[in-house]
Amino acid sequence: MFLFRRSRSLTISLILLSSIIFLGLTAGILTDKDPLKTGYSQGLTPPSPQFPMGTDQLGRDVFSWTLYGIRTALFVSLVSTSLTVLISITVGLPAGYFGGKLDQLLMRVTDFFLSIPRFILIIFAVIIFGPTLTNIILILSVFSWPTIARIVRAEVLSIKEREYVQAAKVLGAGNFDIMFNEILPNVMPPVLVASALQMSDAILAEAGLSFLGLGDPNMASWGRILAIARQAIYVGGWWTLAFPSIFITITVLSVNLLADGLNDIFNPKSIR
Amino acid sequence: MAETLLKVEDLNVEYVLREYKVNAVRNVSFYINEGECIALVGESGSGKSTVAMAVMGLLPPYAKISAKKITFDGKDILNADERLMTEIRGKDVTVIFQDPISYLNPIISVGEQIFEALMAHNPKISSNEAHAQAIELLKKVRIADPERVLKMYPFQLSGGMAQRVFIAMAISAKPKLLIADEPTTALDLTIQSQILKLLNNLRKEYNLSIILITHDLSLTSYLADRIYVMYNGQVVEEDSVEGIFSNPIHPYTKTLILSSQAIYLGEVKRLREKMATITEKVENSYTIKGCDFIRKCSNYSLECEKEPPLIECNGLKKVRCWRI
Amino acid sequence: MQWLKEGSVLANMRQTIFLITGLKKYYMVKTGLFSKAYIKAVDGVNFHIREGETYCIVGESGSGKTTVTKMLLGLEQPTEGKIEFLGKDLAKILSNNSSAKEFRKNVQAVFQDPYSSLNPRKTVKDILEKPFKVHNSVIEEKTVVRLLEEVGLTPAKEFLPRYVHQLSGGQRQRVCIARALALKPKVVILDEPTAALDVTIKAQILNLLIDLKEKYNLTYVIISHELPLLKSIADKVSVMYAGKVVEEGPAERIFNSPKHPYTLGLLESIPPPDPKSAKSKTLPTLEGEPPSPVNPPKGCRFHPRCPYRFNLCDKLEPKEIEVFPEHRVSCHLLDKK
Repeated sequence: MFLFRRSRSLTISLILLSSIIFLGLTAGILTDKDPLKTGYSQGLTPPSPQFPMGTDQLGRDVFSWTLYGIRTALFVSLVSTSLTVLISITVGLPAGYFGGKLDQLLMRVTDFFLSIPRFILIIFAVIIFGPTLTNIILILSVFSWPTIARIVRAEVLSIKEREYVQAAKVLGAGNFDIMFNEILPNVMPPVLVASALQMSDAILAEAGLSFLGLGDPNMASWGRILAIARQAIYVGGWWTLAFPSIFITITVLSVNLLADGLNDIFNPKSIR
Repeated sequence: MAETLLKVEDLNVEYVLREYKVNAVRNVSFYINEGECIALVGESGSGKSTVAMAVMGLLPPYAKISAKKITFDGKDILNADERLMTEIRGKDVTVIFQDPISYLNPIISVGEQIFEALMAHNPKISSNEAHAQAIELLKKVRIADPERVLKMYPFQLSGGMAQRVFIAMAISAKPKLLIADEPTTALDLTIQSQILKLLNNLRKEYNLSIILITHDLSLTSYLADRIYVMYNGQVVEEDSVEGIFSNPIHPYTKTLILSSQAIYLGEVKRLREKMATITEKVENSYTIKGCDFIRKCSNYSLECEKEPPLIECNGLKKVRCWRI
Repeated sequence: MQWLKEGSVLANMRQTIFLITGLKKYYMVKTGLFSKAYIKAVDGVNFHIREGETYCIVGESGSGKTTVTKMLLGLEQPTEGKIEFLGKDLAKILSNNSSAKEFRKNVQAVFQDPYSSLNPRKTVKDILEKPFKVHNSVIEEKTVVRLLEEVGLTPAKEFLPRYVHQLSGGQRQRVCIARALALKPKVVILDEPTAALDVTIKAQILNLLIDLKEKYNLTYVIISHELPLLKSIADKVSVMYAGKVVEEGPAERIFNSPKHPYTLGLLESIPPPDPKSAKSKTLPTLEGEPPSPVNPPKGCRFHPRCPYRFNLCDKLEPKEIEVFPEHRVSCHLLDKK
């Protein structure tokens, strides 16, 4: 409770996120319709008790599509972000701690990744390796870690000079012990903030990919229904556009608020 | 008889942070005459810096200040508007801090910063004149090579040099009151005595009043005329410097003096027996009822569970203790 | 003078813990795109530290005293010169894993800033168990509790679950001392152990250090810029200036009859906590500032600030002279006679 009082952003984001997650988890109960199945209706149907968010031109139920879309968005972003953080720590921690040649090498690799247009490369990679869920997750992680790796490295550089790290060395602690037990816990706060931002990035990237038709065809994704909506709105099917968009916005917003809230907690000085 | 420059009566400062409330300063009254130096002495967290910042109006917005009266040079500054305060702050009262380097702008040269300070008080000053005055100021603070120092950037200065530059900027407007907040704590021993001497010279030259805020009692014996000893947000004893050192009454003042003298004389081992009569060894502090010092004092009685007032003794001395 | 000789023979019989010869540490700095310069942090230092001794190194910032301790702890490698620990080369000791562990057990440290020398994400219990974990020893709560009691943090059980931010400055420094004692070391190296503390706490910590030393027959190496503080605890003092030792000797010699003008100036600049003392009204000062470590003055490094300098001082580096057994001074004034 204490944490909530310290940060309003955190409270709001947790309420929003937990409702979204709840909707995603109970999708199977809230609707009996298969999001990928066509022909529930004849063409575009506006929202009605039977179809709370209407249907698209192929007769797919927008409500169940949107709810199952939560699962896709959160699964892709959570798993890819975790992988991203894992890679960043594996690269950033030794680079910052040992410095020297290793640091030079790892940071040049990071620079390379940072200097290429990320989204275009992601698109190419998905085209080459095929649009499966696993591929999308892996590709997103591989192209996202450099930013966080830089944060990890910068934090390690400052923390390894602290006297408690020196004290651990004087006690005879080994490098791995110092890196993981003394330094890593103190590096995590800014990394968590950055990874929350990374998560919202991943949600948008996944939606973007499926909007371009590069999503996993076996998953209901918000991006794909937006691609369908592009044609539907010309004939007045606003609901195909509105509901998924609202969900994307709220999800991304609440994840960003989560980053904000985490920042409030980790930097007590920044709040008034 | 010198005029009273600043008079503060019953100052209270409360920090309100969300659900937390801290009484940082409680019922502090003090005054300072023209050309006088008073010292606020206390350990970290005793509220000594808060007092000075409150007077300057430099506390953050979550600090709530109340007082019976604060007058500076005859003007009421407790209820003064921001315009008057800004004028007083820039011109009549200045502050120097413990770590001057962090208060100097790192990307602007020393010269530019001094010119800026001069310009703030005299917008019509020509650049030649500003340069001449800056050189003059740096000579005043006894910087040997002022032309070179003007071109330097703060990170190129040593701690002692930075403090001198900061003092030069502080006196550029010929202030009446200088608040020195731990001015020598970050400095080496030989530099510390140089800065103390410099402050004393400036005081004589400009008839400057100085409020010295420090945790180190030994600094006061050179510079200060009167001392206010603070403990836990209150003044527990006030007297002339001689009175504090020769006749300390409050147990906290006694521990302070005994500790600094024992360290100075190299007799820390013998300090324990001396201290045993004054304080009991308690390091935990729980919520305190009555006298703030009750948990540490070995000479307490029932009445100590009521808060003691500041009791006037002979001469200048006032003590916040029932057991006198 | 016979008795003096005997005294020094007795002193020599105690085991030498650290023997330091010709120690130098230079750091390279880039001054331009292609040019570089060397910061001569430590520039030729010799001394030895004996068992059971409190050896103090004093000096102002930039004198190189902290760099010396870092080298003693093996946290920095000397550019030149040699450190021997119990007769063995420190570089060799540290290159071998098992002897390095043994060295770590024997030589512990307390750092200056009690706020940054304890990991903010650990409890007091975690911090005090760490030394045992590192050396794969059995951890019993009893041991940790006794350590806390040893440094005066009682009731110990109350402190175990606390985080660093829940402790006061003095309490933190006590935890640091407890951590240093956990492995029962022979030597504790203390870098400005009381600099960040209030006067009353300073005195308490100092007393704690004196007690612990007597109880465990510890050898202390104390680095400090607070000269008066050392009066109560030092056996031997060496005064460093701009990377060199200018005077070294038994504490009572250094404090009562200093021979180097710099030592004298340092001692004089201490303001006495007594307004009646004559010194408190005049406050003798040593003018000037310590020199740049990149370009130290020629000859005696102190000569630009020295009130007694004469024609030799800016030309020739003074040799070390033993003015009294164990009391060595580097100054031309003593050479003249």
